[in-house]
Amino acid sequence: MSITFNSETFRDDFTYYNSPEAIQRFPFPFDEDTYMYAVNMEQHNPGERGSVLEHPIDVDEHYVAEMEDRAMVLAEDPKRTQTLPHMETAAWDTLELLFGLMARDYPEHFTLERDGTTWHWINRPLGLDHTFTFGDSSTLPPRPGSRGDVPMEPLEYVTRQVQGDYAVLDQRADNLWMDAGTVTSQADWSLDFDIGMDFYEWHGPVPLAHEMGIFDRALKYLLSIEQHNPGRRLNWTMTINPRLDTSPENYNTWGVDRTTVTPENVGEKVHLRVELQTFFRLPRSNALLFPIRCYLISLNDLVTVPGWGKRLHRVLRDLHPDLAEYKGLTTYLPTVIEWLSAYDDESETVDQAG
Amino acid sequence: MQQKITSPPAEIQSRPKYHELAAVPSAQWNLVIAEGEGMLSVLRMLNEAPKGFSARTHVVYLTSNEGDDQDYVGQLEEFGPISVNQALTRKEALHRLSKLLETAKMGTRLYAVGGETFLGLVIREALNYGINHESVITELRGSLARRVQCVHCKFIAEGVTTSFYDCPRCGETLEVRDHHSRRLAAFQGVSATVETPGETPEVEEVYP
Repeated sequence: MSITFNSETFRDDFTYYNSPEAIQRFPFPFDEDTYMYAVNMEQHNPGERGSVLEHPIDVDEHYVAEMEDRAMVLAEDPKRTQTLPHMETAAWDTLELLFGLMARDYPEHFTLERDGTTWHWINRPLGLDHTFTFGDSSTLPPRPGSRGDVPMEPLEYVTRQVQGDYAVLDQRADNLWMDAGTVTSQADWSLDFDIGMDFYEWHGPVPLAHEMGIFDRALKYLLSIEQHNPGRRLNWTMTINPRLDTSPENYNTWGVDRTTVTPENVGEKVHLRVELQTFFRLPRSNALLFPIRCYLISLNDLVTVPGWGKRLHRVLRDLHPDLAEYKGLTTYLPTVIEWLSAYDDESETVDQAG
Repeated sequence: MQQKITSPPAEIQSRPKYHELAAVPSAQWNLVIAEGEGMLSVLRMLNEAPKGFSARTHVVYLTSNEGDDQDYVGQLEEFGPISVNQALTRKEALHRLSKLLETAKMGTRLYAVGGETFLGLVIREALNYGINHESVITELRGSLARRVQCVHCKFIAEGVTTSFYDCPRCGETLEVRDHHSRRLAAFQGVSATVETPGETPEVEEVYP
């Protein structure tokens, strides 16, 4: 099935929108009326046809616009993509995995022909047709905007063509190390600051979960992920306006948006932001690829799906204040809860199987 | 390492943890770098160390400006270390360290004691030589003053002792977090006034 790609923006005039189909397939993350951290990991098995879980890497109507937004972020701030020298093999592993999956699952949009180490990649939505030598960075296309046509590093090359942020984690000494990544649509964390940190360190700012033992168990699970058996979990926060680049670097640009929410504009401005986090073991490097795919939905669209407005109302109403603070919701949360209460008839809800 | 902890409580786990210096008897060679009064910890360690330890030890010593430390070197020499390298500036001390790391042999153990910024810079230097940061024995003794990176414009300010400060490059009023990067040897500063325009945060001296 061929995807029709939206023409839309994630900044300035914010023309981002979800089609009715995109609303129906939105990965609503709450299967209970309350939310607390949990080690909510499961095998990344194929989900229902048409759902965001149908394929290991989901390509949707926002693909082209998201890639345009990434290109803008990288032009402003090239350090949003970095690869420490020992991660080059893992970067090629990443390219092989992502291009391979995209060509397999979306053949009408992407084609990968491999002849030994000579690879021919066609990306129709972005209008790219490249031939390069696998493992030889000097054969990759130049970095856009670079002087002297410096070739792109493999991680930058591939992640400019796949939705979601990418952290590439080295595994050593029973820990995971954030040693490479491309991060342009993040929920307020900085790759440039966190690169080189271990699993506990980059999660340092997260409240409560350390004490609950969440990270010990999550790390154990991640260290044991095997090739061909990827894992996944959902995470969530909220974002004002459909902005992908909510980075700490630009917090002084977007943070003020949190003060602009009113009872009149809440349905349009406030978005639930869901991250589909997946984990893939990479074959040559034994590194772990950690794609963080972001889905945004306005509250206006969210409440069109029966049951979602009611459930979100209960989750937010009873949210632990430390979580609200960490997720940056405190300023506008009362306005959101009040608005959502109109969708909650106070009746019992039936928990979906988790 | 089951040594006494010397780090103050931290809100965020990326903040390095420090312990009291203690000789690792199995180390074939030892490289000790100390700032100011940290030298007292070095002298204590050498005093408690097994016989022969000092004779396998190089020391780099960054003198403090306080003027009360003249006799440290004399006391140190009584233990008979391989070398004592006295430096007057932080830059010089790190340069001496770098030279020693360049020619360090297998089985060398690195020890550092001093203020928090000094320890961060030593660890960063060690990383440049492929030393695992977890193998370095660090004791916090001295100032808590921080190197802080403005996450917005990336400027690194030295000697920040307050909970908030104005970035000297971009002017943003930043809150100093406990989030710490080894590679930058810096804590993180994030704009403190974005969501509360017009309000001025109360600046406290928290990293003396």
